[in-house]
Amino acid sequence: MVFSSYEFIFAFLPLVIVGYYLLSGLRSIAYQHLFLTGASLFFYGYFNITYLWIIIASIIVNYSIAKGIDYCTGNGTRSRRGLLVLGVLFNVGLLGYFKYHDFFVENINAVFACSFNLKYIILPLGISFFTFQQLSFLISIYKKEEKVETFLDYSLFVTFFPQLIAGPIVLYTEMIPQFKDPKRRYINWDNFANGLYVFAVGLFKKIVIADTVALFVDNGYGVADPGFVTAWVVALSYTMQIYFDFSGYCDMAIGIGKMFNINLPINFNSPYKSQSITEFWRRWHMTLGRALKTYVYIPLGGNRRGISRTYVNLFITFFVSGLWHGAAWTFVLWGVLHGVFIILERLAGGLFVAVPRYVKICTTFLVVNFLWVLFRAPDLETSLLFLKKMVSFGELDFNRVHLLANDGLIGFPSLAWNVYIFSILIVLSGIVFFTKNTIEMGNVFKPTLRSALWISLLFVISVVHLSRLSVFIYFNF
Amino acid sequence: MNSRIWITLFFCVSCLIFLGMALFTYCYDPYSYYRINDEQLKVSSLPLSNPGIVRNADYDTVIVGSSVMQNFDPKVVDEVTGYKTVKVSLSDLSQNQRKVIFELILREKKAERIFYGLDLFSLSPSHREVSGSLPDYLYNQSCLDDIKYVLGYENWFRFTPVLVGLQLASGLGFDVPQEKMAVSLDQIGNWDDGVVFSKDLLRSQYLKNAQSFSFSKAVTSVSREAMFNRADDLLRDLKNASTETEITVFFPPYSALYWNMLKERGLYDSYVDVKKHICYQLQLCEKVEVLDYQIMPLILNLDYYKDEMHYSKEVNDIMSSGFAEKGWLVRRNDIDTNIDELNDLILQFELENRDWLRVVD
Repeated sequence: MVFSSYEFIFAFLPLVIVGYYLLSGLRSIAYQHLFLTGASLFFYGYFNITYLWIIIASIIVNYSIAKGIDYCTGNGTRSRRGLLVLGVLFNVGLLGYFKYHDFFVENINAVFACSFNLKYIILPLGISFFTFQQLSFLISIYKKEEKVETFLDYSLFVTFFPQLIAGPIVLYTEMIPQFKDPKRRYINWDNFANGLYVFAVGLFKKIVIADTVALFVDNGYGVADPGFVTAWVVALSYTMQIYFDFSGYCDMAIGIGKMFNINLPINFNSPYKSQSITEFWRRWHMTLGRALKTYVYIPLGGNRRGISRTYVNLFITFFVSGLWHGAAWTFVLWGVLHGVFIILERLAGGLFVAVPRYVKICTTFLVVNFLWVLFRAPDLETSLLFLKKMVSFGELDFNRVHLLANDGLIGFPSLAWNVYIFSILIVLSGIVFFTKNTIEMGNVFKPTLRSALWISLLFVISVVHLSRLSVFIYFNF
Repeated sequence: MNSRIWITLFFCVSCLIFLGMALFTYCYDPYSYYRINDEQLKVSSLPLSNPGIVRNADYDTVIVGSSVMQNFDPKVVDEVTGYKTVKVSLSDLSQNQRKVIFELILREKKAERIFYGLDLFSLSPSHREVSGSLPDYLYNQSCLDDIKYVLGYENWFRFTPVLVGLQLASGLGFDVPQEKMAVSLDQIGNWDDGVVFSKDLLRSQYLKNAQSFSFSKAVTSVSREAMFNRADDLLRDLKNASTETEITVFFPPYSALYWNMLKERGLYDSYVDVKKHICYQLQLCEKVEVLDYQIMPLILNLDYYKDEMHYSKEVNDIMSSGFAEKGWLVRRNDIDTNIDELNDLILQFELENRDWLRVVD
């Protein structure tokens, strides 16, 4: 099930909220947890029930291993380490099979001129997220940073539906205390109103903004010979799409979490206002950055083993980031180039301190925008074509721009479409550079008549846009 | 204001706006989904307007087909046949879409007969990939799905603003492009206005770039077995439908250039074989007739065409007479003869135009 669907907004979410708080009348909080876990599994299985067994098996295996590690606490480190290795192998193997099998086979076929069969496995929803989450849990248990709670609590930690499919990637330590806090069992109208507010803004970002520019992107990658202006419009549209899509999803997740009195970690903090790529990664998909830092960069040695080793560690971390995002060389290249830019920034040191802030923001934005082309293009060849066109200053024509807005419904004159496309991009640029983000807005939210009317309007517009079908970009990761 | 009141206000205001929008759509009804208002501009998008036509128009006969059927004038058909006709067409009609449309027509139980224009290329598996799907919410029986219309994106962010804008502009005395927004149901989907039908144009297009011809987009390759499978699926549907209504399947008169191009691509024999198969099988059905307009001599005259498939309204009118007179009716004994006739016509065309055609047998 997706957040931006009639079923979710008008049936699943209201029923789960009502059910959850009705159960707060019972003495034990476990009933609420059981209900929420069941609802979350239903939410997951609604999309494709055949993959429900994967997440259930993953939970059972990881929990058993964690219990094993916990049990062996007094029996020396060898058995604990053995169990951790088993857990890591299980999780990496699960992800490797479902996400990377065909990628590796394709590459083996290409390099060794073999013809091993591809499996064309459909990626189970959110596998990268829940696998990463459980891996981090096992490591925490191994390091004795956490205690293994009941199976029900653990299951809820993994499956809690607001964050199940596309994050934010949560830590055991930040979720379990909230789930167990008895004060959070009961409805808190202030939290609920705030959550509703954040959810409505997120829904609007995803369903109205991201899906509108998504059309430009999808049409754009179908244009055979894009030209300079078209290539730029497509690239900028995707830069906007991925931000509003993913941050919109996270806002919705955070908003729903608040309705259940659960605070999910912030995942976006106006990333396009960053003055460097390093800063960009502190503001973009923050929970992934945190996880990569904790479980890849620091174990590799971080910055404690000299400058050159730091650069190698950064490179490896961003290589992993690229690969985590997708089983294709375009993703790997995207990740690696981000790593290279961060290394270059470190090499430059304080060289750019005197450069005006807005210049740094614009430069960072341009770099990010160029690199998103690699991320979105269907293959390396197409991405190179678009990148080439983006620097082909001689092909300054607007002839094909209007094609990007064609949704096959009504034909308007080309000029009207061009004005429509550029207006949208200008407005969105204004939003990402100059306005508060949803979380900042949520922090200063006050229940007033004005905010009620404003949010109602955003909600209504979003619901009207629901009949236009779409999927979340990060569901693929 | 406390949070409880804020939440209540949010829900009340949202519900009020939803209700107002739904009520407006129900009254204004841009897709003619609930009723047909003859005076009102109508959505010119066929996927959206077809369900309203089938549900609400007064008819006993339906013409179903692709873009080559869109210029049929139901009034002309009515004059020559005495039927009450509506057309339900879709550009590039796929077999899946045809299935949905047939189900809708049969469900309404108003049609005594259906004329179905069969494009053989729609049986090609490669055709499925290029044909869009239909908005299910207008074609299914679920009342709950009406929400996707009354509070739908296409309605509220595309057609209603444009239709209201045009009507306002027209009311204020501005010259609005009426041809874009059909007033009458019969006009919806017509595309012949201002279109040039000319042999010279076709020839220059052909010589310039054969790939730009429309059929080449739909059919690039064909698997004979897959085409026969799809044909059998179609035949099953037609047989089932014929238990409830009379069915006339007709083959539209593409130009001789179209057949020549099929030959050029090595597809001709597969097409002819599947056509023969369909004709033979349909002879076994009691309430199904077949009209073969593809052997009309006018297919040699490219001045009737805008490309190798799409013909002018004059041809539609001739075909309308054919509905009444059954002039191109195919009987069991005619099937092979018709194929021979088509071969002769193509041969004649190739000989007459050998100076510019690439492939002449």
